[in-house]
Amino acid sequence: MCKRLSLGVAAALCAVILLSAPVRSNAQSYSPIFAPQSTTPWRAWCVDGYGHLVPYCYIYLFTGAWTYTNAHFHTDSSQPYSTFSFPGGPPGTARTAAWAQSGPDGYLYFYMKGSIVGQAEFLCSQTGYGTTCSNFAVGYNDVYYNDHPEIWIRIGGSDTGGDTGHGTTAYNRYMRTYAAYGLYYATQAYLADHPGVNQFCTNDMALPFGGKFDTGNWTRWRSPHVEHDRGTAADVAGPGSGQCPVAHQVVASEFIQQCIRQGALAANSYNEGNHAHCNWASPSSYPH
Amino acid sequence: MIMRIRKLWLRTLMPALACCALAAGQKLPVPFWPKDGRIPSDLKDQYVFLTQDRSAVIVLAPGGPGDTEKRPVRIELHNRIVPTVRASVREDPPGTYLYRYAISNAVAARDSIGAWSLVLPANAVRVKMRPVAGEQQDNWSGGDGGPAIVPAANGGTTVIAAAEQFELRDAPRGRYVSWFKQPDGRAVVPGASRDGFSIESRDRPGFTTVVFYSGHVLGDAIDQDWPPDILDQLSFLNDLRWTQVAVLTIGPMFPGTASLQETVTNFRTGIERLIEVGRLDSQSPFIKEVIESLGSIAEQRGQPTSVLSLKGSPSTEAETEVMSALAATLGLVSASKETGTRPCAEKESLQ
Repeated sequence: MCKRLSLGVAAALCAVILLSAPVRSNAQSYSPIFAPQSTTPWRAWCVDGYGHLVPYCYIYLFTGAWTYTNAHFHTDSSQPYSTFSFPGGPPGTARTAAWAQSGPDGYLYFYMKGSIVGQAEFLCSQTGYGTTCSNFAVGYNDVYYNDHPEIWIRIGGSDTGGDTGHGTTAYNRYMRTYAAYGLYYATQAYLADHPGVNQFCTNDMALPFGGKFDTGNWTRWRSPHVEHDRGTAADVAGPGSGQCPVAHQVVASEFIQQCIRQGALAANSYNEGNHAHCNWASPSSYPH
Repeated sequence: MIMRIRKLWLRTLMPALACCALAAGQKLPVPFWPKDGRIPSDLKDQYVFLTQDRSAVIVLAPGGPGDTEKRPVRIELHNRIVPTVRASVREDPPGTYLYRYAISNAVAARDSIGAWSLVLPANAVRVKMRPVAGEQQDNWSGGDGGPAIVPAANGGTTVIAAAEQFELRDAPRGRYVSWFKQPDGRAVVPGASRDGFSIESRDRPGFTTVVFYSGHVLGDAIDQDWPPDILDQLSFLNDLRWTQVAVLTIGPMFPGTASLQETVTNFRTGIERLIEVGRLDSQSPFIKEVIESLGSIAEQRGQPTSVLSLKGSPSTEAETEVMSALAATLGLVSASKETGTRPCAEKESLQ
């Protein structure tokens, strides 16, 4: 008698996969997508050849991340991915691999906690009869490509010599709608204030699905670029920027004030040395 | 050819301290910093405090990552500015108003004015900022990004309105036009003034809010890597009234399509605010008559069909100010106009 095993995200998203004809899902997917650090209930189960749930079935669960997704064109052994935990288990126990047993109802209940990195990930389950995996993503699906070449010169990424492992700067142009409008209209106000300037340089917004925007070789998968995780922040080059022509550099303090006039948060927008950093949300309001 | 223009001079002298704008009756978002520097045990989870004069916050912050000991860090709000704005409006040519502003910072101030903004109606489009006049060493410039118009889900458009009318209760949010001291310019230090700010508009004058600020970037003093508890407690500073000073002034508020009700409400609210802050006396016969006249106009439910003449005349600078705006927008005429005393709205002839 063969056994079938399937995994599900709650009840609605589960798909039954016959393990007698093992299928391994190899394609990365951005759906479903879970917010970084969010906790979601999952369950796994075994069914026998008659479609009956198998109580006390042993299941081996493990999580992992697909490499080179969501513009993370770098990888190493420290790449984080989602963890899971069991109800009633030791508090704070986060696992990336574990054996567990389904309950008397045939279900193994557990919680998945999304990683901090926006990326494609997977959860696999294994029994003596085979392995099956579910693909999902960690990140945000409410950030959108935001570029206006008529007023913004794109700098950063691999385009202007500041390669941070995220490829071309086109990959770091994603923002939430309200913040994108705020940046756009702050730009219009600033340009109106400086008739001789018709473009300036923008950089680092967020990656295509947001999440950890790590920069620099020594900070892979971690901060400090904490404010760029949520698609609410952008950097605009000021004096001292080595990537933006002087004629297109802004007076940082003035541009920040224009951002604030367009809804950016005063406490979280600041002069970051060689650029203005505007943020329309507090970093404390999103995981980073 | 003789062109008749109407010239209106309005004077707005409304000094205010930032500390007072948020003082009376307002619950403090964070406690005061203890005078002896000792934190009571019931405030052990409190990391952000205000100084007694509300000009700075004290943050108990870790010295660095992993540092469990918290040390006080002082963040200046640069809000001790005592601004005055003087506004004048001239209608030239007919249907176009030139608004001019001069700003001052009282000797009593402790911080300088480095930027200021005027609130316009959110959808105001008929505005043109003129270059700021003045010497190069006083380099200021102004910028108007236009109304923030975004596509709406229903296929229409939505105007983003971010500017609160702090001085006009219940008034809808608007948008800003702003002036900034440039890096090579001079801030308006305590005791100094600066003029030469002007905008043109086809919109008639009404009360609106103007906000002054130092130009310092608050966020520069905040370590964004501080723990979320600290950043959360600092979030009250996103209410811009902590770092800027709002006063009432006159600005382009009413397009031709503005309803009489909207206009009258603006004047009523503005007058109430001026009474609240003590610039107008509610017992003044002139003010009583103005309020009564506004009621009469509102009851007409349309544009005034005839010029309303007031029996009284303004006797204080603030009353003159109000009268001038009323004359320009609602066509009210005061007794001073008829009796030949110094008019607040006069007609001039130009060749």
